Amino acid sequence: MGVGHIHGQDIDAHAGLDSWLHRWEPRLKIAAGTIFVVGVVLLKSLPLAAAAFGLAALAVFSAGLPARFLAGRFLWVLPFLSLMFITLALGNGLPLSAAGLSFAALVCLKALTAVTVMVALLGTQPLQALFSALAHLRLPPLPLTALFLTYRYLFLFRDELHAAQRSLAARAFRPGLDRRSFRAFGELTGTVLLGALDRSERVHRAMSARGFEGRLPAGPARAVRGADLAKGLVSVAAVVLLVVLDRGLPI
Amino acid sequence: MHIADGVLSVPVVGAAAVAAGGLLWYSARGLKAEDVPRISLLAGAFFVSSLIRVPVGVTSVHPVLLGLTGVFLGRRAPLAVFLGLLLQALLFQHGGLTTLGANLLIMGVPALLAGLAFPVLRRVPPALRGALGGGLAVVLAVAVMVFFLVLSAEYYLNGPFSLVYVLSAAYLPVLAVEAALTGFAVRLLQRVRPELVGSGRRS
Repeated sequence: MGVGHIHGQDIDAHAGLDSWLHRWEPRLKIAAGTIFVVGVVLLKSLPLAAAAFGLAALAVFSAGLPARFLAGRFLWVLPFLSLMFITLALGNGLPLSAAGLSFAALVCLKALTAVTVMVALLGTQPLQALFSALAHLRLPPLPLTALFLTYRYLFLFRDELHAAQRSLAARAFRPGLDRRSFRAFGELTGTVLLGALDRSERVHRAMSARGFEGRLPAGPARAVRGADLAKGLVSVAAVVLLVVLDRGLPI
Repeated sequence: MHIADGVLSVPVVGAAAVAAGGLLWYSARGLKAEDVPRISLLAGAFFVSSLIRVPVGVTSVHPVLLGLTGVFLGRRAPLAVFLGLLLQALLFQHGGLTTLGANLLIMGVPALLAGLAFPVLRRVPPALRGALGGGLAVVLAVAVMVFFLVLSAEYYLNGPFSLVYVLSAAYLPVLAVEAALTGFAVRLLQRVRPELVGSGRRS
């Protein structure tokens, strides 16, 4: 047993580059990216889903994000997708089911396209800029503040957990799959949670003392320029076109 | 426990999003500024606790701690689950955008129910109560997930080694880990903060 990491490269590791995606105003980028993903989910044809994937990948590469970076972000969905591929292809035994295979391929393409769009969306500005864009989207302020605070405290609790693990190791604790290990990690979990609960009281007092009333101050929103709108229109038009072609509607 | 974009059919995605909106509304209703630090810090702590890795054969599983989320946060548990899902999407692109609603139901409903079940079970010894709450929350979460998959495409239920069967079997180690960790955690809480895991004050 052990404690993992909030691993992988940070999503904003390449936020410092300069490209059309990096220059795109984050609020419009969020809206356009979300619409694109919804459109992709609607697709039923394999070639059109492949085209959507191609477009998304093209966007990521044109922004200068490395292919390795994108592939690293795929790691999270791959276990599920490979399990699905194997069970859909072999679930009925041999021979392989062609319909199952093409369905699995469609689902995989859509899932990978969605991740690619999210990388294009999230990887092209610092996370901080993304949070402040969200604050300017007129979302309910309290849950948004909660999201930001949660993010802030992740790293503190992670360090706490790692420190606890080091002190366990320093006391010659060898984790295994036995009762003692489960007890140690169960009680460690309880302690971290209690610590968080107690700390939240202090954090609340400190925040109230500084005038917190539920809304964190965010800087002024970036102005929306014509180029931002044009990029939004083009990406939405692209996905609408794909969906229209998919449904076989006359254009 | 995450369903990626494209896996569920469009009607299921839509219906789940609407239902999840309702759950979120119930969970966030009457939210005040003073509740925000508690929910956020606990959501962060739960997020980080799922970094604990337990090796099982060639792979490893991590606890989800749905039962404990319900115990600590009560009615606010689905909101905390939602924060965790959003952060996973933001930081790792894990979980999907269109399936946020489905994923919230998969994990938020069991957490909420586990929180409600705890005071009812207060006569059960704490370790067993924790193991039951933690274990049943996972069973329920897998059941909701299977429900969505089966509704979405018949392929997922095709044949003796269908995705649904294999997936359910894959969650057995998670069930065991979750039950064991929650059991020990609740036993500790019973000793140091009994009002949290049974009767008494609950915010």
